[in-house]
Amino acid sequence: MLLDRTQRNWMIAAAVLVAIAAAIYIPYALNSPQGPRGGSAIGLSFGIVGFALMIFAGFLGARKKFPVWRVGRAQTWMRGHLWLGLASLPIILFHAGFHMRGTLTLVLMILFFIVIASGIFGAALQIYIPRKMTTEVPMETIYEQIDHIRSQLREEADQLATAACGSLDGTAAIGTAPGGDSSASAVEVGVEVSEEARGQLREFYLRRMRPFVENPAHSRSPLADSPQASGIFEELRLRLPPEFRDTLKDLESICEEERQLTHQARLHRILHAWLLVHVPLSYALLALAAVHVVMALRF
Amino acid sequence: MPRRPRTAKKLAQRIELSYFKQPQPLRRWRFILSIAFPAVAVLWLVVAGFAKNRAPYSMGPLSAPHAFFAQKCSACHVADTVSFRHPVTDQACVACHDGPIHHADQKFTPSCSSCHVEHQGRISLIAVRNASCTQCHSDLSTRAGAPHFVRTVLSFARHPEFAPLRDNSSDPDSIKFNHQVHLAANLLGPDGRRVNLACDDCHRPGTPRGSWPYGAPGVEAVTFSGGAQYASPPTAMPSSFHPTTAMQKRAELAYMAPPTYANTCFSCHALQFDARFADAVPHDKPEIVHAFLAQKYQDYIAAHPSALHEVFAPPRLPGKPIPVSPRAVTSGQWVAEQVTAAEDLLWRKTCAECHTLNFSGGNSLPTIAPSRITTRWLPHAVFSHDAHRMVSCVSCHASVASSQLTSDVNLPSVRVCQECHATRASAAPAGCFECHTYHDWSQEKVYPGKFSLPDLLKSSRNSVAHPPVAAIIQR
Repeated sequence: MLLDRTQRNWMIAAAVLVAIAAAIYIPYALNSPQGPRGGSAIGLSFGIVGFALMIFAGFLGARKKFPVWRVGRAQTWMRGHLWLGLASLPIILFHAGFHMRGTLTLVLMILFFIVIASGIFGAALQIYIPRKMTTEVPMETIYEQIDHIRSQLREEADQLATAACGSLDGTAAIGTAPGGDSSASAVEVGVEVSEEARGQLREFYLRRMRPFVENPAHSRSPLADSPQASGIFEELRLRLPPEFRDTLKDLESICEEERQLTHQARLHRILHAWLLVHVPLSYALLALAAVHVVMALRF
Repeated sequence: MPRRPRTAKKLAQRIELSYFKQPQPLRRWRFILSIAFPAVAVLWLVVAGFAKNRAPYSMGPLSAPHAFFAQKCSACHVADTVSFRHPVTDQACVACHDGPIHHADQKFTPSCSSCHVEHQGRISLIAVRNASCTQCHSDLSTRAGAPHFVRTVLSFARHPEFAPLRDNSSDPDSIKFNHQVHLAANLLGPDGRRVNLACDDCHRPGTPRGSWPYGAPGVEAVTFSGGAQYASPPTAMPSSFHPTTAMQKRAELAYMAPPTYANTCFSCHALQFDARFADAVPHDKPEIVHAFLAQKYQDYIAAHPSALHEVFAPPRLPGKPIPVSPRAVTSGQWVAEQVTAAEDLLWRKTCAECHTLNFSGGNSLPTIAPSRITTRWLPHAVFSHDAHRMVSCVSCHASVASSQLTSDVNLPSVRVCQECHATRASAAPAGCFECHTYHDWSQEKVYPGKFSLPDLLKSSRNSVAHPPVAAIIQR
């Protein structure tokens, strides 16, 4: 979600709404005998408008739950959610007269501030994180697919290592590269590679790379760090015969993809974790606000 | 050729198509919390409801006088007969505070709660906003037509000049007094001493503060209590009641007591009438003075019969011819002669120094005009000299030093008040209520209480947001 020209109309609408509310509130607050109060006619009007905006903002969740509803595009609802929800802050403050005296109203106002603050924080993340993701995670995949892709990467790495070194326990013969293409075997057919070199590659794979590939998110392996990984693979290329060059390149590529998937998962959690605060507290806010409406009208 | 191509086809082949059926931790937690948070919020209110705790719905703590009702909402919030609402009605307020209306001709009577806003914490409910007053006084109109008072008052900064100064009123006091002369340096004082009079040598509040430096010996107290009516008047108290509380004492310190002869004039202005007598005539009505003189001279001639044969030389008054000495034949004639001469001195000089005497009416004795000293120039406002005791008198009453006539009104201008009382942060408060009262509480009707103490104590024990009743009682 970007703050671009498509948001301008909503932004203007929200600004006009707040400006009108302020133009009403200021003379009302200055001239009201008892000061600005939520129970006065104007205060109640602010409360009704503010609560209506909060309910509208809450309908975004319903709109997302039922995408087939023909009630406007989800993107439009999101813009309305953002700007009208933001506009509800000053209007609710006008309703309260910038006071928080009662216990329920204090709780409501605290919840409201947290919801608004978390929403603003989330909107800022929605601008910042996707750009960062595009730049830093070119191998991005569907978030929910990450575990599945990782299992495939582990399997691919095993096959590559097996093809180059023989069986990973040191007994089997040379295999083929993943994908079953015999012309692209890990080590070219007919080329003699010493058993010592195979052992070195096997040892590297089993002791350093496989633990990383099996659990990249929690690994303290130097392979989790891109510069260190580059250095390790560069050293291997110098140490091992040139016949292993392609295999090392593939293994390095797998490590890179693992790192990017880890980074993507972290960014994804940052991008969505604020919703664990924003959404539940929004529901609590709406529930308590409904009680507040009834009790305020009653007393 | 890359050995691990990332073509769309290759990438698509890696996707597990049923991934959306798998549990997603973030969404699952969002769902759980979305149920839990509102449930906790509602549970809080439900528990409070079962505990009959209304504190969550209160819009804020009550003022200290109403803190008893913190949990007894129905004391003020009366159920509406036609709707589910429980608004605060004026009837609920006047059940305890039946204050009379502001003015008989007022067009609009605001509801109690529109001016006295509750649930704002430990505030003073009389501290109403200026807007409560200016909703009428910004453009005052009455049922009787044109208002008697200033039509437009918007704030203290634009408060009109005080009426006595605005209308060029004169002091109705009949006592002839020249402030300028009395405030001159090295004034001839008692026993020929030179003195410099200060304001508080003559002007002091109702409650005595030491002896009067120029008063009669033994005179310490005055009986003026001009501010007592604004200090929760003890209307139900016996007449022997003496105010002892701090608030009542403060009220007595509010206004200056009118100067009296015994307190302020005695030492310098002795009422001597004859060099043969050390006594002075009493500062009282002419009839009493006449009787005093007759008695004095009768006693004298009885003790000094030879005085009948002495040549009589009455005290000479300026501009009056020297009278021929009358021949005294009898003691009665002698006494009448002496009394006439003494009264002539008193009525025409000593008393007339300060008082206006009227000799018309055919009576041999004059009548003395009432003093009519104004003790409160602004009867529609309250003021406390005591609250302003850190300020010197002349810094407000600047005109006193040059005032020569009794008719001069030496009331400070409202501009003097506005120098300190303003809306800026560092200023003294400038609310209407600081000086003006809306209700005339001297007309308040007293009703018997309708709440029982155990009931209130029980209610307050349930309170979590307010101090215990015991603490309030102590306050």
